[in-house]
Amino acid sequence: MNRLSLFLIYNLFFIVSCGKSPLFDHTSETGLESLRSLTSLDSSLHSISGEWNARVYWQQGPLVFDECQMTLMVTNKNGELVDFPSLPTLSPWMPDHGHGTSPVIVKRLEKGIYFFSEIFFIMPGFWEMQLDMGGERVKWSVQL
Amino acid sequence: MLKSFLIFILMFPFSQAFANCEIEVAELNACAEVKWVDGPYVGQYSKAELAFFTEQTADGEKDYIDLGQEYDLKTFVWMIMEHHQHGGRPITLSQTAKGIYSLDKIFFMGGMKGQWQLRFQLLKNQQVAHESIITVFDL
Repeated sequence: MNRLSLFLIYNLFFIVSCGKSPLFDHTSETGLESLRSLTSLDSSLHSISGEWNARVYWQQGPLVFDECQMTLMVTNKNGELVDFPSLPTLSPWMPDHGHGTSPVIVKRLEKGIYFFSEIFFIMPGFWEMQLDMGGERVKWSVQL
Repeated sequence: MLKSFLIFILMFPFSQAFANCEIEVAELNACAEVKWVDGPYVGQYSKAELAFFTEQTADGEKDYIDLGQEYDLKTFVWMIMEHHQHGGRPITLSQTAKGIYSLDKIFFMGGMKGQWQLRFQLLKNQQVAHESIITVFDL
């Protein structure tokens, strides 16, 4: 066996033994199991103060009529998961029509990770996602 | 003359059955009734009860009927606006007793001008066999 094979086997041993990242190893909790499946619909959010960044992961949707679900992962400037002082709220809004939708349910799964369910986009069009957290309102858009 | 009399006699029980109907459901030869358990509200969840029954005695007793295997019940909210119309989030529907259904998480969204309706349909082979429209708010 040459030195290259030994090197590969040695590294493979470590790769296999690593297991799941602690961040993603919460499969018993609602929503987190599909955090790994990033899609182009996911969004990055940044606070105005620069204190935190967040990433939106859609678990279901976004689509019209059916229930949509998403997870929000919040990190500080050092990339560490951080909580907000209170639960964030999400209000989907249609600026062209001047209305929103029914209340969205939010649940804290663990430090810095929030799960949003019962998001109903009741009609196709341009939706503004208004996320209020940590005293700031951050917006992003969804076109359906 | 006799023919007219016979038609009147034959029609009499049928018309009596619907005499006190809030909502007539001819397909079931029955009545339906919507009772608000909580609400109705604009901008917050409302809850209602939808019942199907065939007759109502003088003392208010109702004979509730099952929709059976033949019909599927569908309920939803609908907004009629000047230029377009749309629905809302789904209603959580569950049967609580024979002929009685609980309608939960009914949400009439605020901030729009138009008519909010509560609609129910009886579907037969996935086709709408009956639809009733109840106007709840005229905003």
